[in-house]
Order: sequence, then structure tokens, then C-alpha cells
Amino acid sequence: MGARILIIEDDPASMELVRYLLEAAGHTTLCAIDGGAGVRLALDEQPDLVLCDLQMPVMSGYQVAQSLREYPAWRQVPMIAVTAFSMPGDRDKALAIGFNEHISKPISPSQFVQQVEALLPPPMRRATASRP
Amino acid sequence: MAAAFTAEVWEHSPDALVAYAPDGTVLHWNPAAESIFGYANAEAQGRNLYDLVVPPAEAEQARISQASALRDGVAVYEAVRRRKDGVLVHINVSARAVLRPDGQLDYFLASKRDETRLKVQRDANLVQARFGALLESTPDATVIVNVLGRIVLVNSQAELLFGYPLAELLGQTVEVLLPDRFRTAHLKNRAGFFAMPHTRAMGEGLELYGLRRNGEEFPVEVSQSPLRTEGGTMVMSAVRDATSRKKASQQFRDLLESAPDAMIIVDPHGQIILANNQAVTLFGWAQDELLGKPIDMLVPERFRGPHPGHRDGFFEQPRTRAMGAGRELYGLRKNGSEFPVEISLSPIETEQGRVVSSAIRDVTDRRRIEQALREKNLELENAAVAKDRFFAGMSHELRTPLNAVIGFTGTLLMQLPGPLNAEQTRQLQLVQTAGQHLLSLINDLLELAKLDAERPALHPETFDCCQVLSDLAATLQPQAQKKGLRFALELPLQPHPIRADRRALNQIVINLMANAIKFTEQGEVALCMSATQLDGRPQLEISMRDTGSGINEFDQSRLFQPFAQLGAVGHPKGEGSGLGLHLSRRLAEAMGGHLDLRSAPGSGSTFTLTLPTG
Repeated sequence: MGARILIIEDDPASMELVRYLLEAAGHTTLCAIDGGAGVRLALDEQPDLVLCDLQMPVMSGYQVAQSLREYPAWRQVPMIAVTAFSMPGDRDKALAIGFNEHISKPISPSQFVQQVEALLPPPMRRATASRP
Repeated sequence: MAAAFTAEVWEHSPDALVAYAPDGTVLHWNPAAESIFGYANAEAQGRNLYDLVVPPAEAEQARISQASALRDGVAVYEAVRRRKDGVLVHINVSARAVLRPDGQLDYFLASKRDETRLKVQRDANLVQARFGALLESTPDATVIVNVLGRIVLVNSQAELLFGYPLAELLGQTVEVLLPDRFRTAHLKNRAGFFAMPHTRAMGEGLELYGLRRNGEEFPVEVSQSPLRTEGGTMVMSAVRDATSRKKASQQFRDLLESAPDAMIIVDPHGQIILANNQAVTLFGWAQDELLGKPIDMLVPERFRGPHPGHRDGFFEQPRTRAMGAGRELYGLRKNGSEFPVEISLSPIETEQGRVVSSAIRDVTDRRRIEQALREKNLELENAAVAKDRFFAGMSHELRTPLNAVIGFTGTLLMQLPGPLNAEQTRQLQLVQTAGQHLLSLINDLLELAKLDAERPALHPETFDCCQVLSDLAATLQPQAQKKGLRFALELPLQPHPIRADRRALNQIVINLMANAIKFTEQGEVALCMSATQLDGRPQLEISMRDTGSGINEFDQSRLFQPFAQLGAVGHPKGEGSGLGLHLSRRLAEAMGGHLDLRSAPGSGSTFTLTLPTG
């Protein structure tokens, strides 16, 4: 059984790409197109992992991570920043604020799913498992 | 005959004969009177005798003598009188009151004999007997002057100092020892001193000069004290040659004037006792407007309250205080304007006790420059922040659409949506390559833009260069092996710490090694490091060597230019941006190093990155 993965992303094309890759690998996705909706959905649905854009209007990805990490239930849920920022220090800043991983855009379609699944418990790793 | 004889006597009498009215008006004045007192008959007649020849101090005594002549018919007395030229003379007077037939006073007739020489001799004998031996034993030149202002004694120190023997000075007015220009004033002062004699210490008051017999002037310090004797009040003056002290004081003055700062010296009461010309210029007050005035006049009113307290504290516990140490201070000009100053204070011990010398510097210009610099820095800072934000935004906006382009090309090529035919695959691969090319172009352009930004784009840290290179080698080696190339890594055994921007170093090495692998068809690529020295300064050389086709001289000359397209054939234009070498060299230079190429067609290429380590 695949994982339930929440995608928070305001760029529709990026959203579709990530969603397509993950669903093709056998995961279930939840989508939010801004930070606030993302936080509500996260709290309601308790996904197994969150992918979050950093640069979003109103509520940034940093703020999303900060708010979620305040809940005890969210201390351990893997969160990945997916961002088109590539300035030095961006990755460190994301990790410091509570993300577990940082993937920069453009993503590598052939490696993306493995990068995400690396943060999931082995039973949920579909792509990795399907290619032994 | 009798009348003629009378006239002859009048004319030739050795004594001055003067007839004057009871109110003092001169009626008759004979030639001897002319020569003793210096006034011609015509000048004297009709004037008051008291105004003419009686010094103010003698007026009372003269009236008493006149009263006694009236009472007794004749009075004989000695008196001090003043000549027309101001010089005092000692006169022996016989005065008679002449009555009219009705017994009323008609006029006074006085016979006056100049006994100045006699008086001098008498006084000389007196002081010689009493003080002569004593004065010989004092170190200072000593001159005693009698009530007439005539020299009655000089000790041998004074003979030496002024160059006269005593015999020549005896009876001369003391002014003979003064330069001409001081004589008139001195005569007047002397009269004042005799009217109210008091002891005056060395060096007090004005600048004094002595005159030697040979006409030479020299600065002196004089102390005076009255001597009361039977011959009247005399004045004893101790005279000290102040040439060397004056010289020292002049040197001090010169030093003060040569100082670049305004210098003001203040006594413990806060009174200005010295100010140089720079101080005059700075504050706008003239020298004489400053001297003797409280220093607080140069301090803005709002600082005056605490200032005397600070000053007292300083005088009690003086220590040199350097420029600019302490608070922001302000000076006050004569025109009321204020200006920022820096002040250094130092105590000076002098004959007059402790004084404080202050050097005052107008720092208006410096303050203004500092302010301008602060503003400029802030401006640059803001500009840099704005630029950073712009680059970050650019990066984000360019990468976001590329994400879709590269991403969906990838999903199609992975055949996730469904199978592709050969032509579809080939065309999608072209899109993918172009997308990759566009990405590296964006990355390199942003990198270059950051290097051009005004503040350093680099973030130096200290790390082990060997470790970084072997990590890089691990990621590069598979690419080389994929092409069937040997990959050589030649590093020193010991760790090699270096302070540099790790990311920039990574980027240079990856760029150049990727090029080496791309353009080499067989043989090996090598990554080497060695520590060397240039002019005694340690540096690191990192070489990236390949056995590729080499680069001709023409291409070498423009290889590092942006978008250089080489004449070499057989290499498809890959994902390279055309900026890689240019950017690598710029990064090397930004780290204080340089990037060079050695190559020849047919014998491979070696790029060498040299970085300073000391």
C-alpha cells in the first residue's frame, strides 16, 4: 500500500507534475494550492508525508512548516521543501525550520520518487520496491 | 651803576634766582634757573612754579617751606625738583618772603642751587658703607637708585652685565641702562613707584629689556624693593639676564604656533593664559580677547554647567587625555556658532604652578564625512539587499516553468503515460537537452550577476581541501568510467586546510572536470593537488588534466570569454551554457586566485586553479 502524500504548491504545472509522478508510483495525493489550506488539510487528513513549495503568497512554506511542527502529532511527519529557490543557504534555512529534506526545482523526474520515498517507512516505498 | 650791577648779578648768579607771586606764578626767572630747570625765561614767566618744577610728591613739603619763609622771613631747605625733561634734581633752596611797604606779602624770592652731584655722592657713600659688601655676595646684578632716580651703587655683577664701571654710572639716571624706547615710560613709572614703593618680584609684568654700554639689548627680569635711608627712599633692583629663559619661552611659543591644532593653555582658575593663532582662527576671538578670559567662553552654554566641575577634577588628578577620547564635545565661536571638536588635555608644570594645555581640533569635516559614509553604506547595503532579492526572484521565476518543461519531458521519456515511438523519443530527448542547457545557462548567469554585484558574493570558510576534492572525485568518477576513461586522483597524504568559498571551489572543479570528460575520447582525466609557493607565499595548485585533443592557441586566447565557440569539430553542443569557463575564472579571481590553461593540439589540456593559502 502506498503513502498518503499532501502536496502544497501554488504553481499548477508543478502541482500536476509532482502529483502525476507520485500517483504513477502508486501513492495517494492530497492537494492544496496555498499555505493556509495546506495546514488545514494536513491537520484534518494526517497524511504520511508533506511536499511543500516555499514561495507562496499569503503563507510561505516556512510558515507552514513552523505551524505544523508546533503540534506534537506533527513532530515526526516527514516534510520536504520543494523550491525553485537555489540561493546558497536556502537548504540550510529550510532544514533549520523543520523540513526533513530540500529538493530544488526543476526536479529530476527519474529520481524524484526515490528522493521522496527515502523518507517513508520501507512498506510504503512503491517505486523502490517495484524495482528490486 | 647800582642798577647795572643788580642786572649783572641777576644775569651771572651761579644760583637760580626765581621770584614768584604768593599764588606761585613765576614773576622773574634768571639764566641760572634756565640752565638748572631747562625752561627758558619766556616759558617760565606767568606759569605756576608748582606745575613747573615741583613733583607731586614734593608739593606738600614745598608749601610747608613756603609757609615757613612767610613766618620766619627766610627759609633754607633741600628739595627734589623736576626738570623740564622730567629728570629729578636735588636743590638747595633759600627762600625769602618779600613784603610791601604796607607789610603785606608781595612776592617770594628764592635762590636755588643744584646739589644733585653732592646728593648722589652722599647717597653713594651711604649705601656703599651699608650695603656694598653685602651686594657683592649676591648672585644677581644689583643697582641702587636714589630718590632722584640716580644710580648710587652697582655691584660688580651689574658692572659686568651692563659693561660699565661704577664710576661711569654713578649719578646717571637709571634710564641709561634701558633701551631708548622704554625711557620715557620708565621715568613715569619710576615716579609712580616712589609715590607708593613696594616690593616687586622677578619676571612679573611686562617684557623688560636692558641696554649694555656697547648698545646691545637683552631681555631682563627685574625685582625691586624700596630701601628707606636717611637719604630718602632708594630703590634696589636685582637684574637677571633672561636671554636663555626668553629663548626657551620663544621656542615654546614657536612650538605652540607650529602645532596643527588650536592650542589653549589654561590656569587652574580656568583662565586662558596662552592661545596660538590657530585658536584665534578657530574661535574667531582675537588674542587679547582670549587672554585672561574664562575658558568657558569657548564652551556652548548647555555644557558650561558641568565644565568647571570637570576642570577642577582634571586639575586635581591630571592625566594626559588623548584626542577623541570621551564624549562628543562642541566649541563655541565668537559669532555664536557651534562646531564639533576633539580635545586632548595635558598638564604642564610651570613656575606659576600647574596649568593645562589643550589641543582642540575642529572635526566638522570629519563628522560630515563619517555621516556621508554611513549614509552611503546604508544605501549600498539597501542596494545589495534589493539586488539579492532580485536574483532570488529571478531564479525562482525562471526555474518554475523549467520545472514543468523538464519534468513532463521526463515523464514522457519514462513512458509513464504510455509507449513512445522512436521519433517521439528522439524529439523529446532534444527538448530535454535544450531544457538542461537552459537550466545551466540560468544558473551560470545568476552566478555571474552575483559576482558583479558590489558586495562580495563569496562566503569563505575553512575546510580540508583534500577531503573536498576526493568527495568531488567520487561523483565525477562514474561519468569518466561511463566513457571508458581512467580517472586519476593525485592528492597529498596530509589534510590540507584552506580558507575559501567551498561552493565556488566545487563549481570550478565540477565545470572543468566535466569539460575534460566531455572532450576526451580515450586515455585519462586527472584531478591533482599540490602545495607550492610564490614569492615565499604559500598557495595551492589544483590541476585538471585530460588527454583530449588539446586546444590551439587561437582558441586558448578567447576560451575564457563568455559564449566562446571553439573551432573544434566533432563535439555536439551539449548542455554547456558557454559561460562555464568564464564563470570559473571569475570565481577563481574573486577568491584571490587565478585559473590558467596549458594546452597544445594533440597533447591534451591542463587547467590549473591557483589559490592563495597564506
